[in-house]
Amino acid sequence: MTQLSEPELKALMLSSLDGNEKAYRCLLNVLRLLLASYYGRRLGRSHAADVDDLVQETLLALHQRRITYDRTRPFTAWFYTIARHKLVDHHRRGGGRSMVGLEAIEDMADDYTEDAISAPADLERLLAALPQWQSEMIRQMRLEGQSVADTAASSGRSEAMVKVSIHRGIKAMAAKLRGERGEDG
Amino acid sequence: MAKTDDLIDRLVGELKPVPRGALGRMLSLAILPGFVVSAVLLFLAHGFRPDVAQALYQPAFWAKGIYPLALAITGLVAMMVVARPGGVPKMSGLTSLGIYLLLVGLGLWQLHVAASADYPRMIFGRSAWFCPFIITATALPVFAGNIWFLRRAAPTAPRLAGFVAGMSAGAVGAWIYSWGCIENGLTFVALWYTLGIVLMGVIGTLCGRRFLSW
Repeated sequence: MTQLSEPELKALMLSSLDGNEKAYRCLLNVLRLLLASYYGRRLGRSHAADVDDLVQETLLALHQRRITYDRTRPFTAWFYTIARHKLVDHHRRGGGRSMVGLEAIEDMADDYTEDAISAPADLERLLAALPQWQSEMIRQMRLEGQSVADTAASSGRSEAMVKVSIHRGIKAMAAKLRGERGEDG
Repeated sequence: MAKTDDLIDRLVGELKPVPRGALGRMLSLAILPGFVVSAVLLFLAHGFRPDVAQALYQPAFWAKGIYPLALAITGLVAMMVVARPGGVPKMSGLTSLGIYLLLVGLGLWQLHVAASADYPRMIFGRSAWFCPFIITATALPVFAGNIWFLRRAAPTAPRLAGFVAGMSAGAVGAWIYSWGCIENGLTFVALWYTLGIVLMGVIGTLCGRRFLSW
């Protein structure tokens, strides 16, 4: 996946606002991937069609409303605010089941808007701090989506052991992240 | 995924440059027709105050015009904030409150120096019962322009955006009406002008979800 950071994305946006089609195509293609991972993480694998719809709706919204981007402010903040707005709207249209989801979105919002782009790097760093066998399990199950049985077989440990290890590993990562953010996260 | 490719092709094909300050220009463009319509309607239906030549020498006449004008300018600044994703115009809210309190202070001082026999005239005047409604009516064309503008912008809080659209349109309407209004009491302005503006704000809030969701 292409990893572009705020300055690069902002440069692409500014040049798109000046009418540069090549920059705009490049920007939309990068944003499409960012959106697919943003919505994918929040809706889960089982909602691939919804994720696709949301990606398209959001690209269209940012195209139609690009006049509201303030050239002096960060691009990713503007972009993820629109993405979050579309997600909230999606949950609202989905009806009652959304309330928990909505609160969770509000909680996550502050963490994710500015940091979303560096999230993969953060994840790698946190995983690297765990023992190798444990980070490997989390990678297989949570990132690659393998089953407990497969993970247990490939690591040579029992299924119960795999579940407990992953649970503890994620707790340790969360604790480390909280510590880095000064106990307020 | 192929649909996303098509969409990107289409959007790139539709790309037109967005010059600096385009949002502000769009807001002026949105407000202007409503402003002209309201001013003409007020002139035809109500007329300018007959004693305008004498009124020019009264500080109350100026205070009455400056109050809604200051609110209208603050309101337009708030419109620019609320039009952007995640925008919450806190500063404009505080500024508006400050402007209102200043007017209340001046009004109380005006009552303090006036004879108590004048109180009914300065507080209720002759037009208290219809003043708020004229202001709301004068505000409606401007409000329509505000909504047109916000529908092309990206307000992420539709009710708040509707409220700001209503309040700022109300303030513009009150300013236009102040050219025709014959009252001189500042407490009158603080009560009935403000009521008209807030009424427009309430209408805007109620319209927000319906017109400003996207």
